[in-house]
Amino acid sequence: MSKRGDSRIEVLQGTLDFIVLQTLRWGPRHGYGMAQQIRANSSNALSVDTGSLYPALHRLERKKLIVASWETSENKQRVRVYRLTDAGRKQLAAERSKWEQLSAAIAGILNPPGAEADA
Amino acid sequence: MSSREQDPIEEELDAHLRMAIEERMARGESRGEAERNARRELGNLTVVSEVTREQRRGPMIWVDRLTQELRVSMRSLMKSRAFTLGVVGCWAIAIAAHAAMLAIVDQIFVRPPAHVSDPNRVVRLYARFDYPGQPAYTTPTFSFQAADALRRDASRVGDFAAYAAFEATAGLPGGIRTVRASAITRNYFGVLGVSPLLGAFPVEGLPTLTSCSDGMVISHALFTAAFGGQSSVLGSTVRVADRVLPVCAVAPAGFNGGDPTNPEVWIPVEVAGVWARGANWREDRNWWVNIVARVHWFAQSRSDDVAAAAKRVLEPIVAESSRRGPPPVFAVIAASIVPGRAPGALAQNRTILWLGGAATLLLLLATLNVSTMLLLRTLEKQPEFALRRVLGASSGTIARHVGTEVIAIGALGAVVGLTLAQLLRPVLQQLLGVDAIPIPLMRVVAIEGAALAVAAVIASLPPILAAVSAQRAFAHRADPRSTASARAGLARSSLLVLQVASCVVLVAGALVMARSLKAVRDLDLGIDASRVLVASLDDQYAASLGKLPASALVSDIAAKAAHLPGVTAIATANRIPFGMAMGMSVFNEEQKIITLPNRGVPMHTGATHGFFSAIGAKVLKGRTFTAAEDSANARVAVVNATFATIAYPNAEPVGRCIFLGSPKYGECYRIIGVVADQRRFSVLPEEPIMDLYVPMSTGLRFSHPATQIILRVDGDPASLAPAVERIARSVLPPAAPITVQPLARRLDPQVRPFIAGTRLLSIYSFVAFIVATAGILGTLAYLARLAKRATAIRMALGATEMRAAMSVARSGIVTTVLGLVIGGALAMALRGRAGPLLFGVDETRIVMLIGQAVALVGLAGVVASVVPAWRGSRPGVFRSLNAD
Repeated sequence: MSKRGDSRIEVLQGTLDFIVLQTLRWGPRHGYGMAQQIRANSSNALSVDTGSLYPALHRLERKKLIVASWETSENKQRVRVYRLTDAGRKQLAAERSKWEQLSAAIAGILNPPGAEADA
Repeated sequence: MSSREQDPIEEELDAHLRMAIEERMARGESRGEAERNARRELGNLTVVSEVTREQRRGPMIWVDRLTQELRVSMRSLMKSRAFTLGVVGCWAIAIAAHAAMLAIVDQIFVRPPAHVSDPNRVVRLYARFDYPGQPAYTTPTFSFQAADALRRDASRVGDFAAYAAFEATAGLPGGIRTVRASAITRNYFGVLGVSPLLGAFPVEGLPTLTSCSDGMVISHALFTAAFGGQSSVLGSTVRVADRVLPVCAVAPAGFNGGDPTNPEVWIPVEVAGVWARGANWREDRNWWVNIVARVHWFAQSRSDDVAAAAKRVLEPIVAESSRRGPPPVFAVIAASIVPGRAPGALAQNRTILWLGGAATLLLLLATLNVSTMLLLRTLEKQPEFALRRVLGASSGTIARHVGTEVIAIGALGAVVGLTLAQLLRPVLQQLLGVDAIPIPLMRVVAIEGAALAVAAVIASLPPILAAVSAQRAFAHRADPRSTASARAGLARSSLLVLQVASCVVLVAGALVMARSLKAVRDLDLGIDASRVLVASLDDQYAASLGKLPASALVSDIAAKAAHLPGVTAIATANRIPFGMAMGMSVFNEEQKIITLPNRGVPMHTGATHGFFSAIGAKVLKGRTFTAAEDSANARVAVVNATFATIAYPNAEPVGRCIFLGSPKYGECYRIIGVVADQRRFSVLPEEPIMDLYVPMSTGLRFSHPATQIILRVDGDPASLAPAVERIARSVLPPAAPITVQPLARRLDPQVRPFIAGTRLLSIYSFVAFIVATAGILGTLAYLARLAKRATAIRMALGATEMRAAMSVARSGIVTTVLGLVIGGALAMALRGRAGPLLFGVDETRIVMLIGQAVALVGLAGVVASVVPAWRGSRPGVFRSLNAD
C-alpha cells in the first residue's frame, strides 16, 4: 500500500501474476514470504498489496499455473506453500519474453538511438 | 475455532498476520503496535478473504452464491410449511394448466410435423366446391389422376406428392395384425424433405443399389415394437395383403408427415392403391388421395402461386367429372402443413386459442396471488431486513435474498407444475380432439420458460421493493411494519384488484361457454342420433361392385345384423343424416318443377321401411314406409316439412302426386307422410332445404345403391360396433372398405369445441375463483391482525363490534369493488371477440352472465373481506392492548 510521497511503487495491474510466477521460480514460498521477497528483490521499491496477492495466488492456482500444500514453517506455523507447475513455467517463459520485448521497446522510446542525453 | 474447522483462506490470512506481527516484534515494535500495524497493512480481512474466494472459484462463484442463498431460502421456507405449500401449490396448478395448454397451442399452431425440412415451403392442397343450391364445402382429397396431372403439368411451381391413409393386414414377426398404412407416390418423402433413420426411401425410376422401388417404409414405432429395433429389419420381408414386400427403410422417430392417422407403414401407391381404394383407384371419379407440395425456391413461388397453378391444371378434370350437372365454382387452397392452419378446423382452433388465453389469465392470477402472499411475508420480515440494511447489507443483497426465495418457490412450483402438465396434456388432447402425440418435456420447458420468467419477475417485484424500502422505515425510527405496510399498500391493493378482475373474466367466460353448450345440446336436429349405429360401405367401392350386387350385399348384412341383441330397428339407405346428399328434380301435379328459391331442388334419400324409426325422425303427418313398400312396385314418397310448405303452401300434402326425374316419366309417386326437417351438415342451424324420401328400390332406379346400414340400438351403440363389423366382414369380399361407428360420432367434431371449451373454462374459472378468494382472505386476515391494536382502541372508545369490523373490512371491499369494475369492463370488451366461439347466446344474455360473474366474485370478495375483519373485532382483541 503506498502513501503520498512514499517511494514504493504499487504493482502495475496485470503484472502481479507475472511477478508471483517469477518469485516462485526460485523455489516454493508461502504468501507472506513471497510478499517479503518481492519487496526485498525490488529494493523496497515494489509493494504488493495483501488484498491483491492472495486473490492472485488463488487465481493462479485455479488456472493450474501453481499448486499449493499446507506445510509447517520453521516457526512451527501451519502455512500454505505455493510451487510453480510445468504450465506455470511455460506461462512464465511466455510472459517474460513479452515483458523483455516491452522493456526494450520502452527503453528504445526513452533513449532513442543517436539522441542526445537529457540535460 | 480449531484450524481444521477454520476456512482455509481465513487460516492462510491468519498465518500471514501472525508472521507479520512476529517480524515487526522482532524489529522492536511492541506487541500492540505490531498487531495494529500488521492489521492495517493487511486491510479488511473479511473483504480480502471474500475477494480471494471469488478468484478461487472464478465464474462458479455465482453458482456458489445462488446455492448458498437457495439453501438459506429453503431453510426459511421449510420453517413456514403451510405458507410454502400454499404458494407452491397455487403456482404449480396454474403452471400445469398453462404448460399443458400452451404445448397444445404449440402443437396445433406453431410446430410443423416432425422431421419435415424447410416446412415453410411445404403446403397441403384442399379443393373447395360451391355447387349451386348447396352449401360450399372443402375437401382435402383429390383423385389420383389429379395428383398425377399436377406432378406432370404444375412442376414449374413445385413438386407434388400424394398419399392416402388405409388399413391393411400385415404378417409381422409378432403375428398377423391390421396396420395403419399410407399409400404414397414415391416422391413423398423427398417432397417432405425427410431423411430415413435406416435404409433408403423408395425412389422413382429404376431402383439403384441403395434404394428399392416396390418396398415398404416402416415407422420407428413399428421398428421398435415389432422388429426389436434391429437394423437387420432392412432386407427382410413382410406379407401385406396378397403381396410380400421388402422393408426398404425406417422412418425417423415421431414422423407422421402431418397425417393424423399416424401410419405404421408407407407403401408405393402403385402397389397399395388397389388395397386402399379397390381396382378403380386410378379413376378420376375416385377422390381419395391427399396432396402435398414443396414450393420451388428458385421460382420464388408462394403458396398462392401453387394454388393458382393447381386450379388451372385441375379445373378441366373437375368440369369433366361433373358433366352431368352444373359445374361447381371450384378453387384450390394451398395451406400450411401446420395442423392448426388447415381450413375447416376453425371452431376447434378458436377454442384452443381461447383456452390458451384463459390458461394464461389463470397463470397471471396465480402469480399475482403468489406475489401478494410473498409481499405479506416480506412485510412481516421487514424489521429483520431493516436491521440487515443498518448492519451494512446492500439493497442488492436484500433484493437477492428475496429474489432467491421467489426462485426457490418458482422452481418447486415449476417442477411440480410441469410434471402435472405432462400428465394433464393427454387428457386435454383427447378432450379437444387433437392428435395424442407425445410432446417431450424439454419442449414444454422451452415453451413455458419465458412465461415462467415473466411470472417470476411479476411475483418478485413487489416483495423486493418492500424489502428494500425497509431501511427508510428503520431510519425514521417508526415501526417498520406499519410504515412499510402503508408504503406497500398500493402494491398490495393493486395485486388484489388485478386478481379479482382476472377472476371475473374467467368466471364470466365459463358461464357464457356453459350457456353456449346448453344451447347446442338443446338443438333439435330433427333426429335422435344418440342410439344410432351406422355401417357405411365406401360409395366408390360400392359403385365399382355395381348397384344391384352392392345393394344385395348391404341388405344381406342388414338381415344378419337385425338378429343381434339390442337392435330395435334396422334399415338400409343410400345416404344418412350428416352425410353427402344428392339432388333430384321433382314435379308437381301441374308438371311444374318444385324448387326452393336459392336452395335448388329437393335432396333425395332411398331407404327401406325401418329408416325413420332407426334415425329417430319425427313423423308430423301421415305415415312412413311399410315392409311391403320396399318392393320395386311401390310408388310412394315421404317429404320433410320444408318440402310440404314450399310445394303445398295452403294445402294438405299427404295424398298428393309428385313426379320424379322428369314429368315425361308419368309415374305418380303419392306422398304418404311428412317428417320434421333434419340437419344436413351442421348441428348448428342452417338454411332449410327440401328432403324427399323414396323406397330403396326407387332410389336404386334414380341414383346410388344402398351403402348405409342404420341400426337403432338399446344402450351404447359403440358396444355393438364390433359385432356388426364382424358380420359385415363375413359378408363382404376381403379388405372391403367399410366403417362402423355411432352416428353421434359424426357430430362430435362439431360439438366437441363447445364441450371442451365449457369443461376447461369451468375448471380454470373454478381454480381462479378459489385462488382469488384465498388471496383476498389471506390479505384481509393479515390486515386485520395488523389493525388489531387500532381496532381495540376504537372499541375501547365505544365503537361497536360491527363498526370496528367494517373499518377493517372496508379496504377489502373497496379493493374487491375496484376489481369487479375492471374485470367487468374487461369481460365486456372481450365479449365481441368471443362471438364466433359461441352459439345461441345473445348480447343481452352475455351481459347478464357477465353480471352474474361479477355478483358471484363480488359476494366471495365481500365474504372474504368481512370474515377476517369480524374475527379481528371479537372480544379477544383487547388482549393486544393489555400486551402493550
